[in-house]
This record gives sequence, C-alpha cells and structure tokens, in this order.
Amino acid sequence: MAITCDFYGPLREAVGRKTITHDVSTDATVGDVLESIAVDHPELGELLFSDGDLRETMNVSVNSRHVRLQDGLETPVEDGDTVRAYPPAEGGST
Amino acid sequence: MLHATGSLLTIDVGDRSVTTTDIDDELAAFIGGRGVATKLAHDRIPFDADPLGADNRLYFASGPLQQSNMSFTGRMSLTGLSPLTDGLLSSNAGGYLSRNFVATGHSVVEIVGESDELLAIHVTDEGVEFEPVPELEDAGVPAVTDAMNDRHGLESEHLVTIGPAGERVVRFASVMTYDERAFGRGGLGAVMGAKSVKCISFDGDSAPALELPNEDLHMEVHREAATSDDIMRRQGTTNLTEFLNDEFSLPTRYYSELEFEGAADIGGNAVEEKKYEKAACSVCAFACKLPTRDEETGLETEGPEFETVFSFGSNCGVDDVVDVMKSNELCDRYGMDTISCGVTVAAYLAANDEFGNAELVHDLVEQIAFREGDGDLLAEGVARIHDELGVENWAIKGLEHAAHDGRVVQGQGLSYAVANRGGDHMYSTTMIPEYHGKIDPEGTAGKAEHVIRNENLNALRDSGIICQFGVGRAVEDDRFERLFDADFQDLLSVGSRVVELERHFNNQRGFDGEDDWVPYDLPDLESSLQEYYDERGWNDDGTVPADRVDAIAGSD
Ligand code: SF4
Repeated sequence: MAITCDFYGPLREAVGRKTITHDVSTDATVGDVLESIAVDHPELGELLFSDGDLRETMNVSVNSRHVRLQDGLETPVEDGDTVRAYPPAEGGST
Repeated sequence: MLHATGSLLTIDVGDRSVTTTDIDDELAAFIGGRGVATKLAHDRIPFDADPLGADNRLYFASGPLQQSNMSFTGRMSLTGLSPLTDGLLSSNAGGYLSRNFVATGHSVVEIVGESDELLAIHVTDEGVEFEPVPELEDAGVPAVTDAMNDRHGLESEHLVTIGPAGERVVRFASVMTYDERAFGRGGLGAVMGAKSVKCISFDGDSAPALELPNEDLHMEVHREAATSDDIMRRQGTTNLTEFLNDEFSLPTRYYSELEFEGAADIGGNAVEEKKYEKAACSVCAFACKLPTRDEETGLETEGPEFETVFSFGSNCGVDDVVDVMKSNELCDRYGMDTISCGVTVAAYLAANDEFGNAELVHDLVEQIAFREGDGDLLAEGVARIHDELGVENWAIKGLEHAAHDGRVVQGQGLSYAVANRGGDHMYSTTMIPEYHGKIDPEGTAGKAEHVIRNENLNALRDSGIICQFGVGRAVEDDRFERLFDADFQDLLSVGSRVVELERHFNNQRGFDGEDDWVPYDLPDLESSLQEYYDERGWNDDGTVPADRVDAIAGSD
C-alpha cells in the first residue's frame, strides 16, 4: 500500500525532497514506514529516532494527528494515509 | 531568590524633573523586567488614566539575567497602559540595549508627563539630559540613529526610538531598538509619541552589584546555544511556515482560509535564501535573527519572522517574499507592529476585494504611518474600525489576532480568550505543547491548568528576563531553579502575581469576563473560562477579588 510522507526543515534536507510516496506491507506501522525510508537516508533516522523511539523534540503525525496522541511509532497506517515529520515548533516574535 | 538590583529612575518629561527611588522590596517580590514594571505600573498609573495622556507611564525594565553572559538573555521589557487594548500591557524586545541599560545603574526607567516639544532623552550613570529635537519630526528610525550617532557617537544598541507612526499616535506604533528590533505589540510607541519623546539613549559604566548563582550553568547554556544545529539558527521562526500551513493552519486572506497556496514562496527556505549574514542579541550564541537582502532591488531588512510572513504574506494574499520583506522594512522604519499593521491592512484588503495587491499593501503601510488618506482610519486598528470596513473583528481585547490559529490549536484559542494582552501568542504559548502532541489540539476542556501554568511561566520568563526561544529549548524547570536560586513553584507564583496585577488593573478600567472572548466558536469555552477563573481564585465574572491583590507581597 502507498503512504505519502511529507518532510519539513532538516528532515526534508535529510531525504532531499518534500514528499516521498512509499510502498509498505498491509500491517505496517508509521515507525515501519519511516525506518524503511531511513534505510536509504540514514540521516533521517538519526534525526528522528533515539534508541528506537521518536525523539522528544521531533514530531510525526498520521493524517494530521500527532502520533503521541495515537500509538506512537506503533500507530498503524493504511493505504492512502499521509505521514508528516517536522521539527520542534517554537512560537515566536514578529 | 535572584532578583535585579538598581534603582527606579523617574523622568517627568513635562517639568523635566528626575527622581531616583529605592525599589528593593518590589524587586525582591517581582524579580525584575515585566514583573517589577507591572507592580509599579499597577500602583502608579491612575486606573482612569488616558493611555495617550500625561498620566500614563512607560517602564523600561531589565531583569537580573541581563547582567549575565548567558545566551538567550539579550532582551528588555517595556510596560505601560496600551492605547490599543486600553489595558496594562508589557512588550519585549531583543537587540543590544539591555547591557547598556543596566550600565546606567537603574533597573527600571519610568517616563511620565508630556513634553511641549519633541525630545531626545539621554540617560547615563551621571544623570539625565534633555535635548529638544524638533528637526527629527517625522524622521524614520534609522535616520534618528544616524542623527544620534553624528551628534553624540551613540550607536543603535544604546537607543529606543519611535518613528512617525509613534508621533502620530498610530495605535499599534512600536518602540524600536537596534533599528530593527521592536517592543512591538500594544502600541507603546504611541504612548512615547504622545509624550513627545522621539528617542531615549542609555549609556554608562555603573551596573549595580549583583551576584549571580550557578554561573557554571550560564556557560553550559551558552555552549548548547553555540553548538545547536536547530533549524531556527538558520531560518528563525520562519521555519514554522510550511508545516503549520500543511498540518495545522496558516491563516490566509484575512483568516477566511486555513491554508495558503503560496506558503513555500514566503516561508523558511525563501527567507533563508535572502539571508546574507548571521545576527543575534546581546551575548546570545543561538543567533536566530535574519538579516535579509534582495540583490535585485537592493532592499535590506531584518526578517520577516514567521508572524510577519503571516500578517503581510498569507493573510494579505501576498506570495512574494520580497514584497513581505518590503512591508517588514517599512514597519521597522516607521515604527509599527508588523502583526497589528499587517492584519489591519488585510482587513482593508478584505473590505475592498484587493487580496494579493502588494503595491497597495505598501501604500497603505505608508499612509498608516503618516495617518494620510485611508491610513488615518486604519491607524486605529481592527477592533475600532471593523464595522466601518464591514469585516469581522479579528482583534481580541483590541489586539490583532496572531498567526497561531486558535480554531485549530484550541488550547491556544482559550489562551487568547483569557490573555490580559488579548490576541497575543506569546502570553501563554499553549500552542507549543499542542503542536508537539503533548496536549490534544482539539477542545478546551481540561486545558485551563495548562494555560495558567504557561501564563505564569511566561510572566516569569519576562521578569527574569529570558528569551522565549531559550525556554524549553535550553532552560527547563530545574534550570530555572538553579538560575534564580529558588523553588520552581515559588518562581511560578511570581508569574501568577504578575498576571493577577495586570488583570486587577484592567478590571478597574471595566474589563471582566465579557471581554474573555475569541472571534470563533471553541468547544466548552464557557466551562473552560469558569475553570480558569476558579483555578486562579478569581470571581465568577473573571475579576480579581480585592483581597487577593491586597495580599500580594509588596502591594501598597
Ligand atoms: S534566541 Fe534569537 S531572539 Fe532570543 S536572544 Fe538569542 S538571538 Fe535574540
């Protein structure tokens, strides 16, 4: 099944483009999708993961819902889902 | 508990008198910065003062950390009664002023009265001098710096200045420092203008004695700032633009849409392409600022930051980063808050079906600064003119709504509703845990406690003074304890007292729960407001019981 992944900031630089459409098996989790992309782009894995977990400062969503509010990297994905990975979102001045 | 030291210097620009007052008790209770300035403003500005009258007072204040060499402390606070919100309000700016301010020997400088001629005021450790500057009428901010440099050798890091917008009491006029850094929100530049003060310089060599605890931690924070590979160090806050647009919201065409098709053209990468060197605030190794240049036109400015990318970009339907840079440069030169100005211009574009007309945007900014043509109306801000324009009121308590979209991050929506400063994202920054999935962005139920904690923390941040970009990133709760040599809960209580004094002052001017409002529906808002008031120990109508204010340490 095809999963669309959008990357932002340094994560985009690690994979070289904004969007990657990735094919995975039907029982895949969001962690499987990102780890599999990180095989070709090891810097992505370094930025996103620490000891197999999502780094505290990094953000991943499935269909615009943060995985921390779902099952973390174990959140299942389905055909046509959108995964987004983005860096810390600090607010700021004008 | 660590607190600033140094006296209060009061300058009456009406009779040109100067007095110095010992404020050790207030500093001990409120640390410095916004905290001590709020306490002084609460007790010294008459509750019925006209924001543009002689009785209003401005408080420039530093915190104890402005005597340190720690990154994330190149900030100053400014407090006064706002002509935009009609309430007590503090604004915060970076740049290089803070160390020169502290070197005068004062922790707070208070400006009161009304001058009958345009003045420059020079504050040093040897006293105060008044210089009539009628020839600087209508001068832009960089021209004032040039004049002060030519005459007195004063560089921009010594100066706070208003542009023509402040002189013409545009309600969202800013006070500028270091030419391009703004005490932006709430129109305190108009207060300075109403007092006929064009600029103030700070210089000296007499920083008050202060022993800073745990200075090893300062070095640790400094090292982390210097070695961080955070994207903010390259793109500042503009790095947020694209993923907020795709994942949450980037308010577009006067908030009528949540997504802007041109986000990539005005966002972090587009701004970084125009960046030509690194820049920072005093002693800050994080250096997140954005000097930008367009080689084709020769236009130079600093920024735009994310909020300006929204206010003059997506919200005006403008998708060329150079056009946004131009709006940014004009606002800095004339001395106006880019959020309020951009949102007010967007309201005009909505009323006249002119979204995307960048030339008109730039014309309107000029007209507002000089109160010419339609600019005279727009200079009043959205809350006062939306009926006349026939558009919705996207200002809360008079302050134009920031980019972080309370319709999508709804705890932030609750925060806008209760904030004493109104539509301001920096008051509680509750959107950050919502973006990070630490709180569910949907709904307001159960979020009052988050909003309260963040409001208290941010009031502490602004009293200390620490930059927002250091809080969470480098200065966590335990580090606050070490920096201020105090229990974290005690530190949060200082923040709570600051919020409460602001609220109490505003209550005396007629504000109550009716003003705790946002221009969109939020689930459970009524019950969340009650929860917020209950947790704060306030009355059901959102007012502060008098006995709570009497009980605040150091209150008269
Ligand atoms: S992090 Fe940025 S805004 Fe904050 S003090 Fe440092 S340079 Fe200034």
